[in-house]
Amino acid sequence: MGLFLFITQVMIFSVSILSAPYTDQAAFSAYKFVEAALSKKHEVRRIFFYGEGVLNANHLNTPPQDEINLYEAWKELASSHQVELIVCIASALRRGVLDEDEAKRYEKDGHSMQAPFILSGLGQLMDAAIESDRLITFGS
Amino acid sequence: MQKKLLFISHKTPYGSFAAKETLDAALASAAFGQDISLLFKGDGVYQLLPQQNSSLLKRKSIGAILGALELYEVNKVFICEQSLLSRGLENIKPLIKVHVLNNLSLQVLFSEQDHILSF
Amino acid sequence: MSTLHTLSINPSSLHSIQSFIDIMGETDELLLLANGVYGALVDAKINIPLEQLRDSGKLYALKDDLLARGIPASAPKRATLISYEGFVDLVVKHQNTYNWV
Repeated sequence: MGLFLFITQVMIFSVSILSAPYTDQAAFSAYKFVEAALSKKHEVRRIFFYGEGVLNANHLNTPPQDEINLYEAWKELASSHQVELIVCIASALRRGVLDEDEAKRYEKDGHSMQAPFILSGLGQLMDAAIESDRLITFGS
Repeated sequence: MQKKLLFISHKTPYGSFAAKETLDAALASAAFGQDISLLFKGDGVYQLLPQQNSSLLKRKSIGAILGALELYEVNKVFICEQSLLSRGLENIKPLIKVHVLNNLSLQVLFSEQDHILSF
Repeated sequence: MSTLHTLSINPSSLHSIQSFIDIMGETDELLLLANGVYGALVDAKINIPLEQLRDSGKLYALKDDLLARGIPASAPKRATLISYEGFVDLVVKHQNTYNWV
């Protein structure tokens, strides 16, 4: 009996981020939450950037050196823990967040997004909802 | 596996793109066969005002998107009674058919959901 | 079956904090984070609606966000201060999460 008390429940989490990086603290809070979830051995399946949140995926964001570079922090998480970084394509195109393929398709001079961030549709948010035990929203 | 998802729309229709993007997400999830509920709360209730003319803003009509909900078989559409009352909107005729929920019914609605997507 | 409610904006910029508290179920809890931690200040009149939650032990505040803003850890009497790990535990404990907007 007593044994079971010490078995912690491991869950699958996904997170959606709705705010732009410098509008509020949402993306930072989300990052810290994900870090803590991973440290507690939970799985974090997917971060879904939606609405203004897609601006977090712009690789042209250039914060000064003495500030946290959240973009790099997300990239690091993606490579160390296989966290998927999915950016809603409809939200992203509207806000100038285009990867190389989309930039070509729309005949733009340059692109502003690249791997490990991936442009995809709302279906990826639904998949996250279906596959995850918990889906947490940060920002508005 | 089908999940119960509650979308909550808190924003005015044209103050930002949040209202449109919330409805887009709800419609997409309905297309994925999930058990969808949609709740208008706070300033989100302004989306239900009839006779919007978004062409004056060169924007797509929220009303037109609301009309698509039925097409996607999103039938569980709710509106927060308290939000209506505090905005003096209790006598409006909403653009689409919505069920008015009091606080107790909202508690029940929340407790039934796998995920709550708040916009 | 319960919900973890999260407040990450200053309670003073919510139209009516009461309207959110009123829809909290019996076993629901509220976590204040980011600018939401201003809700932990007991002397602020705007936070009076939160008193009931404090008294019943259903109010949490994220410690880092509180300290970052110069709110002494002793100020939020009866709100439980938690770390990000504690935040994760609350999410696990409750069936779903609702971010107040």
